[in-house]
Formats: sequence, C-alpha cells, structure tokens
Amino acid sequence: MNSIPILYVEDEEADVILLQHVLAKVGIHNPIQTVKDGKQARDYLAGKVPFDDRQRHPLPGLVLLDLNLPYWSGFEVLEWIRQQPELRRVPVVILSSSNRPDDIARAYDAGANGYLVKPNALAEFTSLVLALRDFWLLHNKFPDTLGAGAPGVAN
Amino acid sequence: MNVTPVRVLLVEDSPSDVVLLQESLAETRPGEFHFTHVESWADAAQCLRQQQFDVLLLDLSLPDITGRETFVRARAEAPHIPIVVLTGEANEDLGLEAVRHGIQDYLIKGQAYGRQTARAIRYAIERKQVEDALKRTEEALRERERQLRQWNTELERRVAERTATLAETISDLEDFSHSITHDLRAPLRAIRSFAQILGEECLSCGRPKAQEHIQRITSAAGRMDKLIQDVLQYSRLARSELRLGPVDVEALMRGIIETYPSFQPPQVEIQIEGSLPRVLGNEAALTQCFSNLLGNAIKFVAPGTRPQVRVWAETTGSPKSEVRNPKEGRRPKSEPESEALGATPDQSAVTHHVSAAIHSSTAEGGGFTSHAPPSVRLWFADNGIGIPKDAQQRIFNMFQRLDKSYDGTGVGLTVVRKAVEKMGGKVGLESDVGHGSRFWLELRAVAGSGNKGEALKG
Repeated sequence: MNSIPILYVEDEEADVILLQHVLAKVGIHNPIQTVKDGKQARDYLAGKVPFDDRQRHPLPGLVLLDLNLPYWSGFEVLEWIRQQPELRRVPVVILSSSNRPDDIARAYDAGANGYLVKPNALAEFTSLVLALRDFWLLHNKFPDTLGAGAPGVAN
Repeated sequence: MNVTPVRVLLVEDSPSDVVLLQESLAETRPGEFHFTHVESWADAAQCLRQQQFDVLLLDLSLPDITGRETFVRARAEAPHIPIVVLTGEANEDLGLEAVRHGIQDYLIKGQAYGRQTARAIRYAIERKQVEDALKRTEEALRERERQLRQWNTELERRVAERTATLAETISDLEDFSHSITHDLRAPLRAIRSFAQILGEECLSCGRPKAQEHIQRITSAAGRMDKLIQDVLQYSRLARSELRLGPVDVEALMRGIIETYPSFQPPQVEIQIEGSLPRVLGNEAALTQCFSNLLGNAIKFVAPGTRPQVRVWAETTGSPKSEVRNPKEGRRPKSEPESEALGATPDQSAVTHHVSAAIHSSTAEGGGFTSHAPPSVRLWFADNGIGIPKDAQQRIFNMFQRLDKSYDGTGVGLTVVRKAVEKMGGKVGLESDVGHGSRFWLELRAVAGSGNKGEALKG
C-alpha cells in the first residue's frame, strides 16, 4: 500500500470525523489533511499561507472533494485545479451526497477521476472506504509529478 | 318635390347636349336638380376642389382630355362623389370600362334623356353610398382582423411566458427536492453513523439498556432516511412523463422475482399462474409497482406464516366495466384462503361489494368506451393478515400504515397508485382480515397479445 497524502475537502465536520474514524478502523494510515471550503482547498493546493509549509501541508496524491462547499463550490475547485499547470494531474474523486445526473456529468466534464455518493449507513460507508483503499492506495499507478514543473509526490 | 335639389356638376362641351339634358330633366323633375356646368376637364377639376356636389355627370369626349383618362382622373380627383359618364352611341364599350373602374353608371347621349337620366343619377348616388358603406365595412373588418392577429400574437407571447414561468417553477421544485436530499439527509447520516459507532463502542460496556437505546436511534434515523427517499421517489414519479410502450409482463415479473433474494424460496413462495400478457406501460414504473406489491405481499403475514403469493392475469373489457371475471374460479382449490373465500356465496358477495377501485383520472378523462381495447387485470393474491374493509380506501394514501409492527414508510402503495394512473390504469383490492389480500392492477392490453399460448420468454 502506498502512503500518498490525502486532502479531504469537506465542510460537514461530522463527515470528516466519520471518514477519519473509518480510515482508522480499516487500517489506513496515510496522512490525511482536511480543509473546510473551496477557498481553503485552493489555498492549500497553491501553498498559500497558512498552508505554505509543505512539510506540514504536503501536496496530496489524491483529493477527495465534496461538491456543496462554501465560497467556492467543488466544481469551481476542480475546474481551477485542472487549469493549474503544476496541479492538473492530481487525481480528484468526488465524494458528494448528490446523485443527480447533472452533477455527475458536470463533475466528469470538469475532469473528475471518480464520483462516489456518500452512503447513509455506516456499513456501506466502510465498504466504500475499503474500495477507495484498494483502488487508490493499492492498485493505482500515479504520475511522477502532478503537472509540468511540479515537484514529485511522495509515494 | 325635393326640399334640397341634387347638386349636379355637368361637364359637357357640346352646347346642344347640355341644353337637351337640362331641359329634359327640368321638364320631368322640376326643381329636383341644380346644375353647375363646365366645358372642360380643367374647369371640372377646379370646381370639384372648390364646391360640394352630389353627383358628377361627365362627358367622355372633352377637348382637353382623352375618354379613358377622363373617368380615371375624375375617380381619383373625387373618390367619394357618384359619377355617371356620358358616351356616344359608338362608344358604349368605354362606358362599360368606366363602370369597371368604379364609375357608377353610364348614359348614351341622345338616348332617353329625361326620366331615365334622372333615375340613373339617383341610382348612381345610392349605389355610391352603398359601395362606400361596403368599403367602410370591409375596412372595419380588415381592422378587426389586424387586431385579432395582434391579440393572437399577444396571447401566444403570454402563453410562452407562462410556460417559461411554469418550467421555472418545476425546475425550482426539482432543486428543492435535491436540496432536501442534501440538507435533510446530511444530518441524518451523522445521527445514524455516529449512533452506530457509539453502539459498536458500547458493545462491551455492560449496559444492555444503553445498547437498546442506541439501537432505537439507529433504526429511527434509518427509517427517516427511507422516508425521505420514498417521498423523493414519489415526487419524481409524479412530476415525470412516463413513456408508454409494450411491456412483457411475464419476463419482467420473473426478472424481479429472480433479482430479489427475499422473493425466492424457501422463505417465500411466489407462483405465476398461467401466462401473463403484454401490456401498455412503462417498464421502470411497472418494476416499481410489481416489487412494491410483491414486497407488501410477503411482508404483511402473521408471525410464523410462510408467505405464499400467487400472480395471474385476466383480460377484461374496457377499464370502465366493473364486470367480475368468471376466471375467479380457476384459482387452485388447494389454497386455504381461496377456499375460505368461496365458502359461502354471501362472503363472496361482500368481498365484491367492498372491492375498492381507485379510478385513474386519466382513464376517466380519457373516456374509455366499450370500443376501447381490452385491458388486463393483474392479480396479486397473498396469504397475509388482510386489510379491514374500512381501511381499504385509505391504504393508498401517503404515509398510511395500518399495523406499525411491520416495517414500512406508508409510501409504497401511493407510488403504485400514482404510477398506474400515469399509465392510464387503475388499482384496487379485495381483502378480508385473516384471509389475505388480492391487489389488482388494471392496465391497457397490447393488441395482438393473448392471455395464452404466447412465447413470452427468451
């Protein structure tokens, strides 16, 4: 299993704690960073203050992105990421409670690498996290860099 | 005899004709006509501009203008004055042409001055009035038509505007239901998940009461979540337009039974009797109806009873006919509740009487006649607890739950009814407490598909 850092963009604190709980329960110890809104997500990825220390706030190898976010929506964050030459390859998986076809299509159009609907029961959520682990932390091959002229990602 | 004489402008260059005309008229109708006489078109045109006349008597052989030009110019110069032209005997054709150009009449010089001329003048005046009135009417009509077109355009614009507003309202409603999904379900997810985590952590806390309370939180939150999903499903169905087409009911029904483990033996027994025909419907909506009805049939049984469900079809006349089908008798005699049902004629009559038919507004409004294609009634009979007669109408209403000891949201049958109505059909039931329920769906048959002998699978 790799040890890529994961960035979770989520405004619902309960969802953040839930994910952390399940990650710990199934034995995933990758560093996980969380930010609460779209603007923070952008600042984190761009390395702006207070996220400018890459030791404490490493560039993520995988972004889990909620759509319904304050300031910048998940779509806007995603579109912004794909426009940044040094970030454009970062894998982004949408983790949203919306299963409306419009949202799903728009997410893929904006360059999402996957789309997961938040389950409402703990057992299903656990199974989703296990699937995420198997795909992204076990089997998936990552690019050497997230974009042109970007530093490499610690795998 | 006339108080006000008819003012005549006589345009004639031949002195003998002038004398003849004036004298003959003065003789037959003394005082009826007042003449103004000029001898050229130039003078006539000037007179027309300066004075009012009731009629213009116009010679077509004036010195300063050609014959045809005379009446064309005169008509243009005095559009509202009646004109009678005077032609020579050899020129009658010119007179006729003048009439075609809006001149009221022509007189042939030398023939019949006097009474006939007077009459021609009178008629010309009358005719001109009638013609002008007609023209005014025509213009008024044209104006009306223009107005009508304008109103029509306005109406179309308003309809388009309303349609846009409605579309916006519908889209707002959709956004609303999506935000319900988001915003109502998010806190529920937290309640449910954390209650479960708490439950796991409390497994060994040695307080069975606490465990039980946590379990109640978890299941209540789960129920709430199911309710929200069901209501959303219903509202999506209610708003959607179902595309109807032929549906192979038998293949669909067997597919549903095979898909759900809870519909399979040995826990339950679902039996399809005979073959099921094709109907006009929407496959997704029918899937929802069948699985809801089958789900209810196996759920609402007395504790310890093994659910047994029988499904069969009968072809009826038009959906309006409420004829009880004689095929009722083909139910296997071995079925306990069917025996109980048929035990006495009395009971059968009661069952029929309380049979609750929920009429579809579509079917009612569509006005099925006796010529309507035959419809198919699909029966779902169970060996469940049954439904009291006084509750049979309201079980199709939203959130109606008769027995709270069974799981459910009270939305399933509401979805069934709405879906069937959207497909132009009806839904109803027969039931007795303790003797199971027989729900039916009535749908339009597809022409050429019989109840029997059709290869339905594969």
